[in-house]
Amino acid sequence: MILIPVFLSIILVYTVFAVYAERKISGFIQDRYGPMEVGPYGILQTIADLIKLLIKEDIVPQSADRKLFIAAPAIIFSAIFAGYAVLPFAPGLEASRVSVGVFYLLAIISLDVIGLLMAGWGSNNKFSLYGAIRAVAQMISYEVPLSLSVLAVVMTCQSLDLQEISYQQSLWIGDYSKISDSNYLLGIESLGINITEVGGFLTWNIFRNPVLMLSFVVFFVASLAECNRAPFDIPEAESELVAGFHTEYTGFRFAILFLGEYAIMLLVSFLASILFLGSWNSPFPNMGFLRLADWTNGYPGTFSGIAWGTFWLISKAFSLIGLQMVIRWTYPRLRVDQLMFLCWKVLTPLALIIILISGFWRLMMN
Amino acid sequence: MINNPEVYFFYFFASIIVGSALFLLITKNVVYSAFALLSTLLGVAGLFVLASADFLGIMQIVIYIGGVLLLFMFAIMFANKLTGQHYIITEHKNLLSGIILGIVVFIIFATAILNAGYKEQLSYYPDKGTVSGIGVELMTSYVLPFEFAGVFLFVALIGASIVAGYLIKDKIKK
Repeated sequence: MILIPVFLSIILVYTVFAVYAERKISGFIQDRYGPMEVGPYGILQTIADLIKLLIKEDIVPQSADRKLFIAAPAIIFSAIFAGYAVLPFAPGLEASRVSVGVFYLLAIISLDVIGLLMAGWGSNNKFSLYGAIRAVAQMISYEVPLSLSVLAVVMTCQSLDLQEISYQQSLWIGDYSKISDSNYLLGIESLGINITEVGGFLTWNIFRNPVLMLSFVVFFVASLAECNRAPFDIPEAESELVAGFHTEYTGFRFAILFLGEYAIMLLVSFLASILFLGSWNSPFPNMGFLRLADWTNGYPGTFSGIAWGTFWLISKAFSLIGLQMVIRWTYPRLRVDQLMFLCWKVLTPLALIIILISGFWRLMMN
Repeated sequence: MINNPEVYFFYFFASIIVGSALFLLITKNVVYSAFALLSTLLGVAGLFVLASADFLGIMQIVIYIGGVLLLFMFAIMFANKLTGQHYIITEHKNLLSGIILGIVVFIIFATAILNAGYKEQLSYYPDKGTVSGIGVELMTSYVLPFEFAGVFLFVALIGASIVAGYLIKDKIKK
């Protein structure tokens, strides 16, 4: 319970700076400065924007379905925020350790779709409805490769519990993991190289089972589509649909929708870091007398464990968000048919092959 | 049992289920009934989780909300597009026979549940998750029904794509 305000404030602060970062990155890519006026290097620009947004008039269109229109932002944000309940932030620090963590997360995110549909329908505006229908079609389609790529990780770790998946990639696999007790190079025991004590990036899931590197790519692309981020932003394509499902929203309700959009970016980045990139573990391995992994990890349950864990997880997630932003400002938008081609004819078969191979890899692991 | 905090959660979820189910019946706007169904299904998922069936609760969300309900909504929206109306207004026909049928079914279920003696078997109350148990059982004792369900779904999938594909082909010919 105590973690709810913590997560909420993390999301708020992160969104303020993510919007600033987004504008600065777009400025850098388009060879301009971006916001420069408010505060040093324009760092207070988002706060000024936020104040402007909050004091704007709150408009509910006359012919809109008032109840649905008002309820939709709340449903969208709470569906996404509910996903944070199962994220392990550090060893011993998670809101709820449930044995169905990953599954719960994927299920609860799908409630987001209902909220989008409510917003698009309730606005009673053809742009909104088109945006919502496109968003829903895209999100449902891309949930298939997303879930399949997660399934490959679940097969490798043999658990749906996100904290268990994290412990398996850590130095404390022996003490805390319920399923396996040691890590081997590339996950294969018969190679005989025990790297349980080495840790670092070598025990990340993408190195415990190298096929997961491909799976990570599938996950990342599918998660871009789940967040409706460019190059998958046809639901809110501003040149055709004004702003998609949130065309009619103003003021505080628009702020909530915006918050939800940035919160789901953070959520999928956290999920990618936990599932593929070693969760809250340091990327540095122990090498001889250089005990880099020991120095940059804290023992589970101690203060340093929580501090290092949170630091590593958040920096991994923020790097992924930076990558998402660079991609947004680099690639053009996909057409609808290209979108469906990528989903059903490229990513889904690839994910199925990955599952097959990681099944064989799991057999070799022990 | 009465002092257990879980009882209050049970009443919370039960009131959500009953309240939104009543709303679903009373409202005349089909879109509202679809959203009332959403909260009914969420309440049922909550009851499943309360009964330590966490996997079943999440399955409820995935299948009924992520799948069935979404399909309903799409159908409602496209139907609305065809008629060109803002609302689809339903009518309450056969009110009396509906109420009688509902009460009779309720009495049958209630007597069945009260006579089944679940109270004596309440001692089994698993504390840990049910996922691994379900997984092992599905792949050992119940592998035949499991595979059957898989084949059925696969057939449905192929059928759907063939039906949709033929429609497109016909259009291209014309």
